[in-house]
Amino acid sequence: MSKWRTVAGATLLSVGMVGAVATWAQGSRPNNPPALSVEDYIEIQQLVAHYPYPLDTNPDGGKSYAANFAEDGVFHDQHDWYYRGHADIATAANLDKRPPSPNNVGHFIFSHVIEPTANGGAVGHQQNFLISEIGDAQDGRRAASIVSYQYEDIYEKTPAGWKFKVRTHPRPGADPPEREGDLWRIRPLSRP
Amino acid sequence: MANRTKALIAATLVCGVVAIVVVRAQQKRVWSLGHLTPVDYIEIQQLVAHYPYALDRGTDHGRVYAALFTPDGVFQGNGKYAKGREELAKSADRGDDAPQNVGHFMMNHVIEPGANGGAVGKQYLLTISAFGPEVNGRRAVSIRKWHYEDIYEKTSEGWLFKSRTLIEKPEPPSPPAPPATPSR
Repeated sequence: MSKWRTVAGATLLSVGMVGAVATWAQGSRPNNPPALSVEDYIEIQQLVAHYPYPLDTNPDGGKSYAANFAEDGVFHDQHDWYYRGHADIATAANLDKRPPSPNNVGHFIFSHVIEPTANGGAVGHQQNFLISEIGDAQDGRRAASIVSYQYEDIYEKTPAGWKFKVRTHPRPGADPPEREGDLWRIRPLSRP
Repeated sequence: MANRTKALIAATLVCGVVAIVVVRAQQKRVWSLGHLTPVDYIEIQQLVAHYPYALDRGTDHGRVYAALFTPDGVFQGNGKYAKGREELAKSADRGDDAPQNVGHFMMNHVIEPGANGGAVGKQYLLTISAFGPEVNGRRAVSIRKWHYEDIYEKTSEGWLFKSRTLIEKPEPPSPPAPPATPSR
């Protein structure tokens, strides 16, 4: 009996230690966001690096594009429209119903900042050049128009890897979206 | 007493193993890069980051550029094809070094695991050149949009380009030009 009491005591002690070690390993100290691992940074970098390819080439009516978002992810576009969930976001990427164009490039994204948040997630932002040709060719060359934007993101770690929880694409010169803690205040989905 | 001590040691060991398993399970990451390690990823990023400097500067008659490729590496695109370091160096030779020259602007670098322990990747490219008359010391620019498709190989010299293919965005029919892809 005494033996089992000892075993039970040791077990309880060890379980307590497991909890302490697990908490420490998660880095969940109050007031300090848990550090993202190197793998997390790389996964988030790659999520953002992949982003323009399905958007510019439109291989499957927006489905590959939407897969970059969490199931309940939100995309907020520069016209102040909100799209929530894969079906709506796929629609957003395919509004003009353009055919697949595997070599098309249009969104040139750079200066990607990634920051951890208190809830174990991450936020980030980047700059984007949207470049298109204008005017007639002159000596085989055409002038270019560059529109510069920023993206503001909330990333979420899902069983399928890091995804966009929210990606917002405010109009140039517009005020940044309001934030409540780690989440922006999302207005109800509305489309003209 | 001996039995009690043994039981205590056994229970502690079991719980220790459980603790390690629990912590390792919590630390397990979703990792989409397969066999590539974070160090591989960073080395490939750096390989690609070095590329425009070597190309635009033409350092050492293009040899610095050529050294970014495997000995049998291939570059093709924009009407050019170069295989092996000699041809690659020649393609990047600018005569004199041009240490301040910049011309290739690259973004959106995707890296994915490839066959046989290798890696593949792709990247957007902008090339910018001035055209038209100068106005108040300034000239308009023409921007060409491209993307690269790469195969990387891990060698005794580190990660290198096995091949790099340059593909230009299809030129829109002219006139009239189609509307630009809506930004998302």
